[in-house]
Amino acid sequence: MHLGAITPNAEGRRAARFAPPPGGSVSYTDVAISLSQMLTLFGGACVAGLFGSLLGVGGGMFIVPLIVLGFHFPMKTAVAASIVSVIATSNAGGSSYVDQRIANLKLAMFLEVFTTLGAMIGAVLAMHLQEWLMLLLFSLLMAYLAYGSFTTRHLDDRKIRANQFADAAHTGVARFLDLSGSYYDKSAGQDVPYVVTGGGIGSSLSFVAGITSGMLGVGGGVVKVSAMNRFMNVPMKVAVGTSKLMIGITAAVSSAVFFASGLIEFALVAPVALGTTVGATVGTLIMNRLPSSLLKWIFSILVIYIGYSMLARALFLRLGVSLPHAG
Amino acid sequence: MNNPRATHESEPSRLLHVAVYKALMTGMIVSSLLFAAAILSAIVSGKPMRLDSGWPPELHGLSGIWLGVRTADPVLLSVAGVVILILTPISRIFASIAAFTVSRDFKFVAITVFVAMAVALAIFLGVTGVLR
Repeated sequence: MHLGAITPNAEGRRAARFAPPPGGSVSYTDVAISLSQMLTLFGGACVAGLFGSLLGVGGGMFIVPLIVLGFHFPMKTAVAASIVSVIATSNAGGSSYVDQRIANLKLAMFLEVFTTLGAMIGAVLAMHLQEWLMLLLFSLLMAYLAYGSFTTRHLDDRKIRANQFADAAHTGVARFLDLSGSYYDKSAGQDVPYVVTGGGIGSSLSFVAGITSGMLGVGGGVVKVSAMNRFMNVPMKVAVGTSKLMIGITAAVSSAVFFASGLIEFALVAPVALGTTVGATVGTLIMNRLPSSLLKWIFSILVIYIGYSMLARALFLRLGVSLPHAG
Repeated sequence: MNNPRATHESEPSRLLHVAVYKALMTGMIVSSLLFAAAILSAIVSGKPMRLDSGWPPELHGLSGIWLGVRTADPVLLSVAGVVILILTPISRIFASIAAFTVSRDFKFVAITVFVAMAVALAIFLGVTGVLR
């Protein structure tokens, strides 16, 4: 939810808003956003929305650097605009994946119990734990998830062809709650029934995903997709669609807090939210036509990028070492 | 609706999917229209969207949003879009509760109500400053 990053008082909020850009002294007062800037933001947000809906993530890792590096806005303003746009991309992507019967609604609701609780715990932990240590730990988690995604990149396509997603035993909480389902895979041209397993580890990892979102504001979608796909026998595309639906809830909570804190820059939000909506809508039309192996390739690269960004930030905070990274 | 499976799914599942889909689509369309109107209004009226415009305190509340819609104020239209966006995933939870209740799936009624309460608690703690 990224609640830990919010400046707690009005003076601080105002200071954050009027903070000069890195290396500059321009005040944002009385500055209007131009049409070309709006178009740039809209175009960048389209790309973020597209990749977000292909991979089941929010796309904040694309939008925040765009706003910070491209427009020299303070990080908090960029994060606030990004979080609002995550809702937009979740609404657009989630609605389409629900319509296509790719998102598993019961699984989403079950896991949302744990992500919501995790996000609250994460926001509290953010106040008490050292950020560099958390970033380092989560960067290691990302490395592990990227390795897992890359090494299993052909597994989904093989299991779909052999109908192996339906072979697992119905057990535990997944059976009790009837979480299993099926979807039509356009790339494979067949129905793909699947049996959800690993309710325990899946809910635990969803809790971790919530903590990641609550503490760092990024990475929650990645952990959720990995948890479902690797540990719950959920096909990659279902994991993407379900995660896309789920991220809207935590983003809505964070946005409400940013809204109340006065950190949302509405002139920025309009083109960004509109762009992510358009991009996400296009992405949902493409995703089911792509082979799962390609999605996992792209997903692995994204996870490595997020992990590297976290590591770079951790090293900077702890040792003052600057690794090149965007954002 | 453009899914090939919808014709042979169970009625409770269809009901749930339709309820969630409609909640999300409504929010997406209304918020997108508001954002598009905000941008269009800024371009047409020659009133550029000012940065650090915020939400003027005197216009807080639904009356301020309604005024923005009536007067086509770019910033207030954008504020209205953000409000609708934030409410959309929450409306999806309530649509799910209604669908699970109609389908008499009380296990998921309980789970979904729990999620709704957790979300309400998180917003309350966040807005009041406890989680900051």
